[in-house]
Amino acid sequence: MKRLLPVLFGLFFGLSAHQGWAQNITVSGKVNDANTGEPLIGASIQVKGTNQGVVTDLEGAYTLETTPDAILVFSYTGYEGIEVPVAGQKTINQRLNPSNLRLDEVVVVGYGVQKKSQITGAISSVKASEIKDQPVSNLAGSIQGRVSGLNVMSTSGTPGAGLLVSVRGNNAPLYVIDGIPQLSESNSSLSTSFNLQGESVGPGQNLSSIADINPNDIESIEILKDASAAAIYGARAANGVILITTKRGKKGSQEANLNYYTGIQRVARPIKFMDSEQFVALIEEARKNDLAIYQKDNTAFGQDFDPAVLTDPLDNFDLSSGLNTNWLDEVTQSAPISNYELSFRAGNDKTRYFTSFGYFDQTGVVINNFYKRLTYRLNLDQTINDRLTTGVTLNVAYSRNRRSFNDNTYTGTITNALGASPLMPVFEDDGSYSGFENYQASWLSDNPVKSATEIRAFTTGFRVLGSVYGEYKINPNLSFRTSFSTDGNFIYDDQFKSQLTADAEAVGGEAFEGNARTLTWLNENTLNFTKDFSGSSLTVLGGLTFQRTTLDRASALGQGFPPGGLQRVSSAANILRATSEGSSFAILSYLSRVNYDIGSRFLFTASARVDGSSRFAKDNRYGFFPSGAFAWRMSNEDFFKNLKGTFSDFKLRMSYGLTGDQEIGDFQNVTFYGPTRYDGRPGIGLRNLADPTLSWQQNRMLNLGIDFEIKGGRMFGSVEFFKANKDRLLSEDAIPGTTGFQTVTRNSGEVQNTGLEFNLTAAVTKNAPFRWNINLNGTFLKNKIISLSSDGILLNAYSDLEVTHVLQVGQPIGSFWGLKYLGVDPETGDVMHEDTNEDGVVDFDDAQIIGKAMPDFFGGFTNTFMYKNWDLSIFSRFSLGNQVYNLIRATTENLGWSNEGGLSSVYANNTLRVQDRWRKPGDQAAFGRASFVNPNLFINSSHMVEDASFFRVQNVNLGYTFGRVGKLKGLRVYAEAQNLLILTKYSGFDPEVSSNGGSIDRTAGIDYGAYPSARTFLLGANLKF
Amino acid sequence: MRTYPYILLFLIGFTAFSCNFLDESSPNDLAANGAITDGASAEAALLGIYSAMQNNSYYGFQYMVIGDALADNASTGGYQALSLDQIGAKELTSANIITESMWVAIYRVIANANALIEALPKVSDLEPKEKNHLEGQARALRAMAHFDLLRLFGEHNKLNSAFGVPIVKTVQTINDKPGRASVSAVYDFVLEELNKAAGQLDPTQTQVQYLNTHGVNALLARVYLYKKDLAKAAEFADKVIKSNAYKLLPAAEYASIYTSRRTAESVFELSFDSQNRSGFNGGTYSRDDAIRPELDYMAAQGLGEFFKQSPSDVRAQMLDYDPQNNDATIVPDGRTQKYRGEESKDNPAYIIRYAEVLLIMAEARGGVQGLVFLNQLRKARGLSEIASSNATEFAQALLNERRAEFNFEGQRMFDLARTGSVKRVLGVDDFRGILPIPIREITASGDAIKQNPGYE
Repeated sequence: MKRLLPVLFGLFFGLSAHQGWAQNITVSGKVNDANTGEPLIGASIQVKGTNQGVVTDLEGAYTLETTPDAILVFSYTGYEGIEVPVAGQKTINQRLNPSNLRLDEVVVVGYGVQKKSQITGAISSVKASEIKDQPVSNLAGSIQGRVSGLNVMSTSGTPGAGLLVSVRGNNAPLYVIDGIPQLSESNSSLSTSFNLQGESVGPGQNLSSIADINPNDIESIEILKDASAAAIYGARAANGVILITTKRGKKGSQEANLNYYTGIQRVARPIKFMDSEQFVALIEEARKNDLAIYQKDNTAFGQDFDPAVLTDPLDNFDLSSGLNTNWLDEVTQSAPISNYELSFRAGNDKTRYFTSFGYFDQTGVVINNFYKRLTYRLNLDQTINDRLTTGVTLNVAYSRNRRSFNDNTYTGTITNALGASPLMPVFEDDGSYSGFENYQASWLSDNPVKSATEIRAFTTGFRVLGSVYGEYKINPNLSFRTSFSTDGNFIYDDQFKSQLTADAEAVGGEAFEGNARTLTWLNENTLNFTKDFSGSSLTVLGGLTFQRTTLDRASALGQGFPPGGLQRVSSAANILRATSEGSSFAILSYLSRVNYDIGSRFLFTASARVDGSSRFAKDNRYGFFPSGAFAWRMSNEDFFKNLKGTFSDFKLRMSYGLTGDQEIGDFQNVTFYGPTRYDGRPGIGLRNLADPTLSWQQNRMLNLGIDFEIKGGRMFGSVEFFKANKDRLLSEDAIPGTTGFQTVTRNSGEVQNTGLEFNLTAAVTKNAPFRWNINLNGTFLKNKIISLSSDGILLNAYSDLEVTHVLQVGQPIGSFWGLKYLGVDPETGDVMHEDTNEDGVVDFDDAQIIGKAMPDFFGGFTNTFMYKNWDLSIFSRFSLGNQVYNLIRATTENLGWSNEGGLSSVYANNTLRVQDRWRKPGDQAAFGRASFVNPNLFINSSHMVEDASFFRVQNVNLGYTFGRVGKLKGLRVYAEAQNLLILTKYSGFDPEVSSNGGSIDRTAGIDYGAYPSARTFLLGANLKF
Repeated sequence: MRTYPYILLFLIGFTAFSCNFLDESSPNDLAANGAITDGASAEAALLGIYSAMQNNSYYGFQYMVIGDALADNASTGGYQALSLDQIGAKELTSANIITESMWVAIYRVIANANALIEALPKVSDLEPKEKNHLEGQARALRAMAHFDLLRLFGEHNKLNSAFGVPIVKTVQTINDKPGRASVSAVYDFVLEELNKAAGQLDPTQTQVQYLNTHGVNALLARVYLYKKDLAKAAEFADKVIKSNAYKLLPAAEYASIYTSRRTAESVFELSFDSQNRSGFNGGTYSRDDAIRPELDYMAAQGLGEFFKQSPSDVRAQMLDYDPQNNDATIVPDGRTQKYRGEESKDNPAYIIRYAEVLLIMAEARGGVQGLVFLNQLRKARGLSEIASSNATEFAQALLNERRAEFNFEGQRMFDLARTGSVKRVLGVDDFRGILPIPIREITASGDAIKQNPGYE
């Protein structure tokens, strides 16, 4: 570092050369819209061939000094620019024509920007105006369904939950926020999924690295989908790249915005359960059915079976108490949500800034959950002189999240509530929580209201994301940019289980506290060369970047707490466990890109990145990731002239390239001894078995695309075909247990994603006062495993569940494994399953592939209507061919089977769907015969696999815009509904569920009673002043 | 163009800086290659073997109860835990995740032992005596692990069977896929190693939380008994008895075996502490109000009835079938109280107790001579002495005694399989006395490992 500093100082301060001007005259004038005559505020007037220029003021006026023979270049975003020779004039008033701005729109690409018309890769861009004012905590939620090739699923309704984002079938893309690549890992050390022994069984809720960004701060989001666009991010780009660019100050304009919305959320699709009467009827019917079978043939009941359990009255299981608790109602609520945001955006010749303050407050639809977030931002740019610009980007976020305990697992609040008996009260008469042991429904691991209230799990986050940059124009063609960025993420988890809870009753209360600190620093240095030749232009980018990330974590667990509300670990009688660990990685990268544009007809892009990663052994730590693309703008060819009246733009694109993935965690290539202890003495034990040849996973992608525009933007769109082969997959491969380990992280296997995407936008009517725009996008996706280290790898979604998934060559990743359901035998009421191995016994050996989580086709559909001051947008999303393995139904639709809890008890309440069950010979029913002792169901069966295709009216927004009101520049008020309607056959809360968070695509698509999604109604206002 | 030199300088500056930029090392772990260099690190690696034995799937819990649940001592609970249900129903399949984890956990112990045994020759700062003691423990633990695998997954009761378990005596790479050795080969390996270890161990080291000379002798007696080499079994059991290092506690103090730690009855007891908990309490007792699904294993109704036949047996007090104490969902089963301690959850694994040594002696000597040792135990547990009996009755008396003594200590299924009593006692096919090889292992080894007869 030391020898670098003087060089940088030199670059920043030593080279502020300045040129003088002679014989100047003063030119002034106004710039107006050619159609309306309205003054254009902030239009730019530049003296051609220099860096000198001004912008118009609030009246559209400007004044500038220049030479009498200069040429002024007038330009304004959304208008066609024009060059006007001064020719000695002192007043030049200029009218500008609105341009066909779409093709000139600037799109953010990796390490730079490009005009849309010059793009050669597959890049989708979403602008702030398309996604504003949605009641989502995570910005990924706002681009759901907006972009082809991008599938964003809200797998849990938990406030502040992470989303499952997949780009062209690849989960977990790289997020780059204002140039800073984000980590994909969730940093919280608070596992929220435990089994009854308190061992973590699954990842539970995700916290997302982009959750700390206020969605309203965003200027645009670009999704780099193909290799040509993404390869500049090399070893982290295999799953696609999402660039998030926040708002910056603009020259000449000054505006303040106050945005506010508030609303109410409800569970969108509650599951209907039996009431007390129906529940008792089901159980008694089950016992009666069993008795009839027992009397006919008792072999299925075991030697010691006492038929009295089928006739003796069950304890606490009659209607005399009059109880009829609706547990779902008890643990859910109507919950408020609101958002406040104040921002300022201004700038002049020298200084430009955007600053904002935001507060987001969401209460969960499950009781006692919330997510609150405070964000601050300052984006500042300072032009120091003609050559040097510098600036800062700073985002500070504070969030506090009361999390749902055991969210997404089968001992969670929701999961407990799903099976709870309506004959159990929430509270006893004396006001204490009812003891779940004293009432029926042994499915419960605790009184759901009690565990939701008495387990207090919080995650508090503090995030600082900041960078400074300097950009220096070495000469008109060459500029240098350097930036230093820091990403500090501080997460504090604290969880207290009061002594009232079943989890901590025996130990007198339990507290867990964890601190995690992730620090990233990043230095990026790029040189940018542009040169126009006659009719063609060349842009060359070269760069060198350094990134290092360290993670430190510490946690402590204590049990036994004194009364009086002391809950910190220090108050514990026994401090049971303390951990402290660290991790780190570094990446060193060389990057380069060349764009060559020949007469706006042929566009070439070549890019390459060399990444070195500390995650791999010395011999194979460097990876080379090249890509190339070619585009032909046919619309600029002579032979196209006749078609030009219809097709104002027509471009063919082709790209091929290689990207990589290193997301395996640190230090996976070394076999380690980890610390162990025995008999109070420290020892070392083998922790893993590593493959020393571990290296990058790579993705080779071919992309073919067509961009078209009809009648100057009346209709435009694109169609893309892609074929991506991801090989050398970083996978947890099964190895023989004789090694002492079950898996090794190594490169093996190949997966292919092929797909077709389209995106179409059209103005149905664009004549004032009524305008109607539609946008439709869709993606057909096919995922196929090409090869595996060994075929037919069986996987469990939760470590204590049976096999739920399989990896099989020729099948998609995330295929479900289980028995094939054949329906109900109308004579006996028995459920029937296919006996694939024909051994006469239906058991798990008969398992086969019974479904898949991935959709075949998904997309979004937007209608925007404008009438005078009214605007209405209706945005819908759809997905076809995706399925869910709804395992919670093995409890909530178990037909009265209760043997799990012993025969004196009843296991779990059932959904109302079970009313359509077999009752007598000859019945054609959806569900089998109710049975108390022996299960008349198979848990891992295609009976539990449901079609989760859906059409969802995601967002409806109706607004009215007032013109200038007094001092206000603008006011828009709106009413909005989020998740208004879901059309689906799926029987659970939401078809987009994936109980283990879903980020592991191999075990996606399980529903174990995930947090229900909300339907939200809002009122809001945007105030400009 | 005068700035190019600056840029050049800048690049050179960074390149110089970046030479070591990508060398990161973990602050939590030691690279295995070269970790064991001296006596201290070898000692630490030995503790690592004991620690590996503490795995929940091995002596941390499951291995010590699965044999009870597969037989007639325990019933199972759990929330829709198919693997537990299979065990409870005695219909184990090769897809059972509990036994799948058990296989790997036991081989993890072997992997740790192999790493230490291979590294020891390079350790130079230890006295030969110390080094031998380290190596002896590593060898004995490795042999015990192989034997534990054999009696779980191998046809240990058929000496001519090809279905032993893979013998792993070298450090494995990810590409190694050893197949199954024959049963006699496994017995030979285990006995050879235990005998070698017996000679290496320092006889002055007698702590029972470590495998000491007596522990190895007791293990030898156990293995010879399984191998039906009764003379040898008696010879080694006798060595333990003659050492006078252990004794039976009086009936009144019987419960202290389970409430105290490392009593005079324990020959090898794997210890746990509150920092390093075992799964016994959580899986068999959990909390006073526990309901059935919260527990993994409950005392089967049949075990309670078994004890009703001998009311004076002090061992009956370890069982609780009382509906007053237990939630109604548990009835008619009960709970064992061998693993109480809901707060500390530091219950040890009783790998070999003196009572077993006496019963090995009784079985190995048989008839008249053996009766002495059987009655010695019965007396200590508050029972009357058995008069001389015929061989069948004696065998049944021994089996009953073992059930009374070792319920919830993992031995029941092994005893039934060893004595050919599976079908008679449990009413299931004899092949179920041996567990199926986890399908995961068959797949991961590329079919180098074959399934057991009856489960194919």
